[in-house]
Amino acid sequence: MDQFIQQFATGLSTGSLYAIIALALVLIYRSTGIVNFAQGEMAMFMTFTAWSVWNWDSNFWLAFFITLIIAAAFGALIELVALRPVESGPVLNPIIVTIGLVLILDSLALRIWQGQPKPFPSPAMFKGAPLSIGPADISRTNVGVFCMSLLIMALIYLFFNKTKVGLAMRATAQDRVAGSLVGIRVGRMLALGWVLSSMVGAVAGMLLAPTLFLSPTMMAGALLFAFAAAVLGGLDSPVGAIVGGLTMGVVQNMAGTYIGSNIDITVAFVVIIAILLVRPRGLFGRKAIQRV
Amino acid sequence: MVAGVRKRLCVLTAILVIAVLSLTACTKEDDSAGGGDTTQGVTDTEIRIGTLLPLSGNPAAAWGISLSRGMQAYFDYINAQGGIYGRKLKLFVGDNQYSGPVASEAIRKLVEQDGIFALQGSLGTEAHSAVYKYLEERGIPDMYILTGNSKWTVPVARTRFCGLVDYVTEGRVFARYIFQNYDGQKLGILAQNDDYGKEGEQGVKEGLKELGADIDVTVEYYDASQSDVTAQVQRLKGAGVGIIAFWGGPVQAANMIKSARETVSWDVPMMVNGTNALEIVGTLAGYDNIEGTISAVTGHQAWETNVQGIAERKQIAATYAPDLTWENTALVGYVISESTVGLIKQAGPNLTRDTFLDAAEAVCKYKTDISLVPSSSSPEDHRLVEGDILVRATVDRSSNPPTFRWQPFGDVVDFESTQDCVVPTPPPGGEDQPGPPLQGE
Repeated sequence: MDQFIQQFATGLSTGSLYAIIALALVLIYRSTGIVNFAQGEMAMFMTFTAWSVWNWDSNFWLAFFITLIIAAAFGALIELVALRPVESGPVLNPIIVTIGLVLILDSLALRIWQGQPKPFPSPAMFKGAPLSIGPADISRTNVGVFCMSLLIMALIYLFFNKTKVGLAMRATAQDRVAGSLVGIRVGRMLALGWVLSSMVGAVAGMLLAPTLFLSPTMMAGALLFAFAAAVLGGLDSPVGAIVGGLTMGVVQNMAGTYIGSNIDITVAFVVIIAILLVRPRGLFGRKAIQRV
Repeated sequence: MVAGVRKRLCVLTAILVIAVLSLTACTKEDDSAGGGDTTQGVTDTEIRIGTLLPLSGNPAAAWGISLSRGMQAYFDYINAQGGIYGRKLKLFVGDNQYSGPVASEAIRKLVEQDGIFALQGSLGTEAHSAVYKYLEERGIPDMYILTGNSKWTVPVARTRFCGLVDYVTEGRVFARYIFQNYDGQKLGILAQNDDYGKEGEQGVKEGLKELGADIDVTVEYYDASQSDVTAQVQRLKGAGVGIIAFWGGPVQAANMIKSARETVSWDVPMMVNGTNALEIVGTLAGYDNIEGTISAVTGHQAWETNVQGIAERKQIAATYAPDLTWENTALVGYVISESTVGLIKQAGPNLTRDTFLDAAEAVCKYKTDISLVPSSSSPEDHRLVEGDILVRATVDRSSNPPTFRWQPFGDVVDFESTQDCVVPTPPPGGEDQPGPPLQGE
């Protein structure tokens, strides 16, 4: 029983890593209708940036906030330079552009920061002995990531549902022509989507780097799970991203414990496919209705 | 309309046929050049040696770049002394990006365009898996591969040799230590879920069985794409293991050590396989966490400059590659080139693939001034080294900042399968050539 509780708790903390990246994916999808394959690489790139800033000053939180500002600019830049020109083209084009971004950012990072993995600092409050909850031990970092993902989810929810800009962004994602007809600056809304998602990605990267270590491929493994989590939760739902991520983590760990760690990933994906068979839009995804 | 299309199709087919024919013609020419009286890649003044390393597109590029520069430094040093029997060594570096498909393209360029005589020190199991059969079919010597899969040497192919201790043998070395110190306890193996990890697991299990050890084994796997192995470590703790043996990549090794000590607060003894006896693993895991962890090496390491052989090599590297950082990967590259040069020397003035491979199959209990485990090979045994010496992670806190080292301890554990070998006679004039000393010199 202790083992079950421990693995459940570890599943939640692994899952919260997936959840926070899934949130960034959902953000872009919700505001621009694009699935961003470069999300992991953007986060990695920003984490390296944070590392450079930290090397220059060595105050974690200063580096954290400076990186957030850089990430915002970075997101806007990518939207303007790489995505804006193909936005009016076929749906496939922006997706191919994001795949291209993966390769570009990977090679750039390798060139600037070299390939050797690097240790990444944890903020002081995440250091120290793990927290014991009943028979389960959870590291402070994992608790931090878990809380942070809930906080970001809440902020996104409030932003999209309680602010005018959020409403305008949702409208843009649903119908650009109608949006611009009622006076929404469509271009700005799309850029804002990339800005927010780049910032969330940067937060994810900085929180994960002490565990995964800093390297150009640090996000590759987690990104696959984040995609699965986002699809499982429903690609346009922040709540879904969190629930999807946590489910992935828990299922993976339970399968690893009770079936075998050599097929834990396989089992996790079989479960996802099974859920999607019953609920094709994901757990919290809304059904798309189109008038014809 | 239809007729027009047909006509165009005919023309296209004709062009294709001509293209294919001329390609076959080219290949044939190549073959005759390779198997005729001249050996591909060898002239009176030059020997072309290739290597296949990750130089871009993957974090392993950091190792590839350092390895290739170590190789080059040694060739430059030999060339400055006039080369071997008047032939200078030219290194051609192919970038495999740590990937099979890229490697199979890069090897074609090395073999078919650059016309290399032999390949040395290829790195990356997946990458080399894509090219080893091709090299074998072409008869190109595939020297001292830098991954330890047993498939390179079992079954033996005349042209292929392994440069590292294979993972199964290393597993047996670890089993000895575990049996001597932890008999009666439970062993937890954490292995990468592929050939690499499973060969280590197999070696440890075989080794324990040979020794008749009373040790229960529980195995956990992780997928190579995952960096976080906390859940696996917790399961090993839950299973009550008394020692952990690890086979996998450096990032996961560091993550295991860090999560065992920090996340799980568990002071279990740990062993990590030899390819993790790197400074970087200590840097990532944290010095306090890694202290006491055990791994394995086969020779002196780059930092041991109190060993004369290391100090000399460091000096030569500093002369011929002034901006090369002197670390273990650079040293390994340097030593690989040294081994190739040794064989070229032993093969004598008449250098062909056959004389070269004969030399490679007749190494007998050979040790340089920096090796700890003797090397032997025979036509039935293409594993150069089959033993290890264990090292322990130690932190010297008297310096500021503290320094981290893998310190050797105990005796060499050697499973060498070539026992009755005869020390080969050096060729006439061999002693006068530069390069490593020949056997019997």
